[in-house]
Amino acid sequence: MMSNRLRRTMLFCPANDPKMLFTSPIYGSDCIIFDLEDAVAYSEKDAARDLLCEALKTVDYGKTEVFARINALYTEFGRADVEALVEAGVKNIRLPMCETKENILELHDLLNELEEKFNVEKGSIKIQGAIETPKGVMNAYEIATACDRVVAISFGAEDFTRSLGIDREKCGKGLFYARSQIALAASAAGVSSIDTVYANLDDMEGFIEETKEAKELGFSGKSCIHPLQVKTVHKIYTPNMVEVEKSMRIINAAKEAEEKGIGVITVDGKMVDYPVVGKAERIVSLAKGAGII
Amino acid sequence: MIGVAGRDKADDILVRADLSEKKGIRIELKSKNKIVFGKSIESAVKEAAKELGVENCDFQLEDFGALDFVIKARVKTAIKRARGNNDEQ
Repeated sequence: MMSNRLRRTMLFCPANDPKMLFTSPIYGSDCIIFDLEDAVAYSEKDAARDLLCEALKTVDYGKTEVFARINALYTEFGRADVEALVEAGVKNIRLPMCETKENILELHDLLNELEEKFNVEKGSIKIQGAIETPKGVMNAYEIATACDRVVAISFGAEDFTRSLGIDREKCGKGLFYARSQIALAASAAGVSSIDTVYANLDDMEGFIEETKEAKELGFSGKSCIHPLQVKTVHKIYTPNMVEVEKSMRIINAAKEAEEKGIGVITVDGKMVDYPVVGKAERIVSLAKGAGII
Repeated sequence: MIGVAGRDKADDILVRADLSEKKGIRIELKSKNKIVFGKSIESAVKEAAKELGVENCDFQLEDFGALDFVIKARVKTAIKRARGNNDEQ
């Protein structure tokens, strides 16, 4: 069962760029990730954190789901990032380099303390676990189910290929197992799965191909590093009207059957059970997100 | 006792904070928008300083069209850098 929240696109924005902090919502991504980690120079970590905190207190991001990618908790910046962000009102945190459930639980415990300290509803701050190493891939399910705060897991191919010693540019097959594992683990855990970024902005064909693969593998969405990539992902993730109409018939039939207390139903001559209804709901959710219904 | 933050780029502001000043908050502002937004910028600076408990500081600002939240962030970073406590606290 997949999370119902629409997370087709996660647009990465460096948190030390004032303009991106207030213009990013206009690009229409389902989620924005403000990055305090790799996109920020060591000497500017403190400034990026202050800037993001003030933006979170001020800017209205509307329906766009905002995540903050913190520095890993084992770095000198990680815990200070979390404390400042919680005080500023952050709702979602992306934890980099997750390898085990203990990584998630360490953040979970810290959030418990800080929610109490700053009078924030307990358990309200959610976590996206970023899986970027072979060990993380092997532990994807335990990461996705580490605690109720986890709403998504994501794949980071850049660090993954570096750890595995393979070439990111020529490794379609090399990523197949890892991507499949993450999409499956997320689905089994009932959380979203977000595919890796595609760094070569000049290669839109490659980006389209990788996004189609992500959809086929079962990913909820794809990370984007440029606003131009957002519309492309949404287009690929938009179901056609035949699928949408069929899904709506399934949902209506299931609703009617539930009201009448009927167990098994058929639609268009095929048996409909719980997973089929779940898939139909997902398609309708994507269609609504795309604005076609 | 001096901290600097921000960049000389559009939508940003360069802030130099000198905490050795002992005569209250003093602000020297360079901005194309000074006539229209000067008071608003100064207000944002004072608010950020107050949030960090700073009562005495000499601020030199060069504004490139920063919004209030950017001004406050840069002022806070400059103050923290002046205190030398970027991540220790």
